[in-house]
Amino acid sequence: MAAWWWPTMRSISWVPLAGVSAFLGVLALWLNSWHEDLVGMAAGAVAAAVVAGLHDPAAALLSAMPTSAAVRRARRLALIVPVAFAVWIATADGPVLGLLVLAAVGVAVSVRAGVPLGAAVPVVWVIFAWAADINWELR
Amino acid sequence: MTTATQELARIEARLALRHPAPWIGLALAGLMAWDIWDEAWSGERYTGLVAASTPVLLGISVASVSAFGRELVPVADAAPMDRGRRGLARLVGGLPLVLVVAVMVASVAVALRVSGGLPLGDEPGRTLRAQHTFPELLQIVLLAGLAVAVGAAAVHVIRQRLAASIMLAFAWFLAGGTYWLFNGPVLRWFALVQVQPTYVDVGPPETDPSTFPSSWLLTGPGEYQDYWARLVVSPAMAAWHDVYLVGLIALAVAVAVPGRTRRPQLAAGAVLVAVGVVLQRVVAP
Repeated sequence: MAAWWWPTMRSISWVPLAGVSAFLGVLALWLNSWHEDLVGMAAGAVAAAVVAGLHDPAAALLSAMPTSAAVRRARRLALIVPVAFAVWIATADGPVLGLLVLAAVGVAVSVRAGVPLGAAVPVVWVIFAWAADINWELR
Repeated sequence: MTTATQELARIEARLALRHPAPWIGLALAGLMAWDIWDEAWSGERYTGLVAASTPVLLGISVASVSAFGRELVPVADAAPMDRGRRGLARLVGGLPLVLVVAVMVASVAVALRVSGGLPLGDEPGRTLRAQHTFPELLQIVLLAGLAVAVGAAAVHVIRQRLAASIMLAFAWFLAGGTYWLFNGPVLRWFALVQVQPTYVDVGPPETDPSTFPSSWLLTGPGEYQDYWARLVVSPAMAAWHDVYLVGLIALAVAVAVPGRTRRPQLAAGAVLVAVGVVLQRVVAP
């Protein structure tokens, strides 16, 4: 196992993904079928939780280390994304590509504008799609 | 309140009003209200206008998380004001956002009265002049207060601003965006966003609707129910639902703000929640 695996695992904030997973788990037990709007919001929340997992309070301290921020971010994503997709498939079982796009856009925004704004983008998008009565996947 | 508490409340109020989330929520609520105006199904405007407030509530909760998230900074422990007074000031600082929602609700209510009202029901039991009752309108203002209190409680319990905001976004969307999930006979007493009218089964699909009293608002068998339903707007049920919301606000404030009043608040909140639920059951149509 790579040396970075366990320290990265410990440094990731799993609370957002755990919270969203708990919500989705309860809904999956309760609902027979998921309405399209609910699938959209679930995708937004999971994507936001993925982006939130990139939050690194020690980023300034670690900036002097030989491992670049991009590599640390990629390692975090390598650990978070499979868990998020497993939760997604086990609960909402919605379109994987749609979730991937939301998460990718959120990550891209977070690189430039910070993790809070990056996490806000998927959520705001799905709420906008709901309010405007358009498909959140733009199909 | 002491001068220091008032001063902090003033600062927090300014910060809350400058937070972008409630204003983005207000714009999305406007978009939602505009979108439902086509009335794709009978009563969509009447029920949809209440649900359209969801993005504003979410925005207020995010602003509240931002304000109460400042308590997570360790230096705050050494501040001259204790945590209880800071919490009180932050709660008071959230009130201008509640006021914004009250103004929004009052504006829409006045506009509807001037324009004549909303359509509700199917022929022969249909009106074009339906107006939301006062307890229904008050519900949205109380929900704004609950949004402030729940934001404070969530960040206090979860201890992470981002995680609290994401979970609140999901929770508010569930409560308002998919309100029909909580619109069943029992769940509607516990729902956060309670949407009226209530559907009361008055006859099988083959019933001649002209045999029903002419004063009834009706909706015919269709996609959502396989019977003739009477549409009943119950101001009494909405009023007791408001009491239930006040109880929830008290519970959330008790969780978020420490102090001597925490236990009485928890007790009062629990009593109000219980009374609200039971009396909704009693007056339900």
